[in-house]
Amino acid sequence: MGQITLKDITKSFDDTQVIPPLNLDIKDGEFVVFVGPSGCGKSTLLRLIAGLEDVSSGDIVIDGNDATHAAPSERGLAMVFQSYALYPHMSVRKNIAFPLKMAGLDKDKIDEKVSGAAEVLNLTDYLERRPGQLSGGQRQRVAIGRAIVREPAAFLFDEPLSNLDAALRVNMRSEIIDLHHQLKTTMVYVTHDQVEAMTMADKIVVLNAGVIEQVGSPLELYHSPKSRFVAGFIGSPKMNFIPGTANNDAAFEIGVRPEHLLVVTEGGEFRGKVASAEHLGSDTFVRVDVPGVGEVNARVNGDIDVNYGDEVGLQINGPVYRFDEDGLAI
Amino acid sequence: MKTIKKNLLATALLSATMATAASAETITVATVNNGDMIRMQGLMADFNAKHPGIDVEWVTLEESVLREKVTTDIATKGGQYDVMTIGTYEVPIWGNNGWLVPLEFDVSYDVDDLLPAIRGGLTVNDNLYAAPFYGESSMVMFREDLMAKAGLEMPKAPSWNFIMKAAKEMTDKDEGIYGACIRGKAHWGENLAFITATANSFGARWFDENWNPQFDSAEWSDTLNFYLNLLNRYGPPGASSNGFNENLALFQQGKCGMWIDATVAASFVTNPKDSTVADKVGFALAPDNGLGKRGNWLWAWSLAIPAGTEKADAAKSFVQWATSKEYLELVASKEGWANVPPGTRTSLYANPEYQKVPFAQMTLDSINAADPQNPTVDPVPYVGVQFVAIPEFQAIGTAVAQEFSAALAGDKTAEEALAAAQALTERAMDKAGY
Amino acid sequence: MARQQTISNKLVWTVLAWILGATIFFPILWTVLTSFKTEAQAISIPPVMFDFDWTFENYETVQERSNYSRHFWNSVVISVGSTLLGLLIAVPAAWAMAFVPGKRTKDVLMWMLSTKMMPAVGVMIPIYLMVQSAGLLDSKTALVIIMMLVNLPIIIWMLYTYFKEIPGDILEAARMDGASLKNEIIYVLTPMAVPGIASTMLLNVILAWNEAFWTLNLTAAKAAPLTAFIASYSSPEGLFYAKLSAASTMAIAPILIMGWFSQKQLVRGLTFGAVK
Ligand SMILES: Nc1ncnc2c1ncn2[C@@H]1O[C@H](COP(=O)(O)OP(=O)(O)O)[C@@H](O)[C@H]1O
Ligand SMILES: [Mg+2]
Repeated sequence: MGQITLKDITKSFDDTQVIPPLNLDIKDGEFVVFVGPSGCGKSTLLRLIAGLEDVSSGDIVIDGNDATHAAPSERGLAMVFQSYALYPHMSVRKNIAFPLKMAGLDKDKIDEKVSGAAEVLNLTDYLERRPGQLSGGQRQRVAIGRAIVREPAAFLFDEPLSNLDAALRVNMRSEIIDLHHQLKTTMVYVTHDQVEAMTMADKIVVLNAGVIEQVGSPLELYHSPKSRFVAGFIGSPKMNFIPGTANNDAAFEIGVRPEHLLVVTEGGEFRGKVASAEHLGSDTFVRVDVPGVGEVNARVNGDIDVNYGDEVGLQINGPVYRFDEDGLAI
Repeated sequence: MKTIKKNLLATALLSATMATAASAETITVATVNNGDMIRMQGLMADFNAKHPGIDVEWVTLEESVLREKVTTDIATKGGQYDVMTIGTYEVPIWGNNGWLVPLEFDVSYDVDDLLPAIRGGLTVNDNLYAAPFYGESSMVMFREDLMAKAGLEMPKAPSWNFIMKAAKEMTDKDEGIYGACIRGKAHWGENLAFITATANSFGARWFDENWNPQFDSAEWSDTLNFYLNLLNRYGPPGASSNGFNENLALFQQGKCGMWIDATVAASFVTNPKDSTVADKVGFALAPDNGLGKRGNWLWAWSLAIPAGTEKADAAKSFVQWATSKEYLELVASKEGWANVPPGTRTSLYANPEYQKVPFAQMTLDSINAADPQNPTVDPVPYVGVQFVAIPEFQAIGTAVAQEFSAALAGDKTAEEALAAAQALTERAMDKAGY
Repeated sequence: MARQQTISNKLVWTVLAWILGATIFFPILWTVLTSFKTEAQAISIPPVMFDFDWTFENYETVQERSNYSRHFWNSVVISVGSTLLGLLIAVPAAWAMAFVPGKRTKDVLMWMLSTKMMPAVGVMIPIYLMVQSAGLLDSKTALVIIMMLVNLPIIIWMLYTYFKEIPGDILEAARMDGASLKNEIIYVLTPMAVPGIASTMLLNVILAWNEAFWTLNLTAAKAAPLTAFIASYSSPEGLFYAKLSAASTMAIAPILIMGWFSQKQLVRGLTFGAVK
């Protein structure tokens, strides 16, 4: 079980409200990702769920029980920190065993569980080492091991991969996804990286300045962003925003994803000079300087023959998103 | 019936505690680290045999630390010490304050045997407040060989002019030999002791009879200029940081023609174990200018009993033993006459055995040449030869000493140093309410 | 080229560090050497460095004259006692300041440090009188308490700086892992703070060992530590440099040896906060 409900929760530090009243339902077994720019309150929200911070008002319900004022240890949740937060004076074995020891399990049981976790996480050979003697990825796995042995109602991850190099990050990402498939336990995962969010989540919660902009599956967010903010945040390369007037549109602003533009020699909605063309083989990223609009990005097929300085046209070949003055989707 | 029983019990208890107290009374003796005091610590078996009921604990300290601690203790009636080693400077002040127990000894002690000059310095209102353990004055120590080489002969009582001339003749800077080694280190017990004693022989004084500082007098100007000339021309380099020990080292290494300092130094420079010139040293009285006062000081390390002690009787037994004629004989029998603490008793100098010690007579003559009650040519309101026995003197003295040391180092002229000394002394005396 | 420059740079620093180290160590070396000379050799001009007849006579004299073991024991009791007592007070204080800081915590810390700026003589008489009226003059108890108070600001500061370095994440992780406050302190906080506590302890033992104002002024015979032992060999009239050196060597040897063996710990303790 791992069902979490946030009801009208707020959080203020001194006089600054970081989280305005916020409601959210997390279903049992779901992989939920909080995504948003740095400083938008993702970690704070996660720490409120964990019990490491007290809510200023509102209720937190975990598995039907009011956990608003429960101590972190009473909530049955496990957390993996960005810094790993391993106990530097303990061996890997002792690190993983620590929550079990605190729970009062007997030694045999602890050993069994630690070995099990070590096997799952490929840590068996490192059990007697100290965290200081491990690589970043290994440390991260120890932190995860420490979390899984408790068999928590839910896992909380706070940017667990951002201290790893790019290649390792991709690996660990799939390991966590595999883990979720195996354990089927609720996971709440915080990241500022929309790629991580898109690849991992069942449900993405987009946060902006403490406010939930939109909740939905990755494809829902991609196809039907409720606001300019979500539209701009989800998808890579970023959506192009163009004043409505430039396309004879009544909307204040329109949005077109780069992959929904074609580069043509004749005609097209917009014309301009190629400012750069990046040939990646599979795709080509073309940046076009459109007079009166600014730079517009297009993602087109890999074999197109355009070069810097060419005069080209851009033709819309997909949905056009329309936004009003407040940035809301029309 | 009941009360009698109670009284009996009380008496029994009381006598029991008194008995234990008497059987193991420990007195604490605070002392400076000098050869004579250390020697006494090695001779305690004799005291213990004579006074089995008294244990003695020693606290040996550096002079300035001792002075500070003992002053704090006595001013606050701390009662940490039962016997204190204090100098001629403290005794008149502390005696006057009622901080010390007046000493009265039985006839066998023969108090009249104490050297009059020394005893005078330890007496306040006809009460003896401290018993002298060893006394010292200052005198000229010189290299007989260098004096002969210079074609001069040291008179028994030289004048300052002769000293200047001899210093000039003996100085041989190429050989690293300096005519006059004299204290220059800034402290009231170092350079100022020498300069104040010298000033006495130049007819200068610290204060007139109304406590007016006299550094603006011609006599002081003569004194300081003479001192600076002597050292600047014929003294060792860096003289402004030399104290007793530095000059002792220089003299023992054969770098000095003359050294004017404490009589106690005589036993060091004539000791062949430490001194390279042991067999070439002659002695003369401290110099004068023919005005009736010589430039020598007077000091006695003395044993006193603080008024706060609860063990005055035991303390007195110790003081009497340590300063008795018998103690001198004890030292002589164990360590030889040359190691007997000097400068306290007339009878010692009458002893034919002691007269064989080379510097004995010169020490006695030097001590007798100083008079702490009348230290100067013109009358003064204070007691003390190389100091002024008032509580403010330590602070004033060290400040003045710094001025004089600065003049020697060349940071100031003699006139500037004297003007500064005058001003600071006036200020301090005003503040003290004189 | 750039690489060569960094190498020669490194060389310069190394040489400078050695020169500085040698300069600082020289007086100690000189003292130790002097303690093996005769008094005459000790003052000889020009001075001799190694070329003299080594003798143990100074040590013998000092042994005969003074009760070294008593002074030594007093030093041990005072320095270790005051440090332990200080830790007892400082550990909780520093915990509170580091992990539950209030609005005025920084001010309190600064104020504590400012008490160290006052010269000790300034409070000499009041403290002397307090100790006296408590009947504690010349007692180790008084010195343990006074030394503890004298060094408490430093102990608290050192511990505070050290505790500040412990990442809050780790403590939170322990909380998430189900540790109660007590277990958090026992299993996580304390073991992680041990190096800091140990170096604080070492440094304060050394400070208390070498302290020469209160230890001299509040003791006479019974409680006098090694500082008084040294002071008893210093003499303004008479050259006892060799004996004084022997006494000094005997007084600093224990702490020097302790310092040598705990070097790593000490360096870490003294530089934490400075380097990460
Ligand atoms: N303990 C705190 N005290 C005061 N402000 C805080 C505290 N923790 C976070 N904040 C503020 O709350 C906001 C959200 O922070 P955080 O939740 O860490 O953002 P994110 O994890 O999304 O980058 C930031 O403006 C941050 O400065
Ligand atoms: Mg964060």
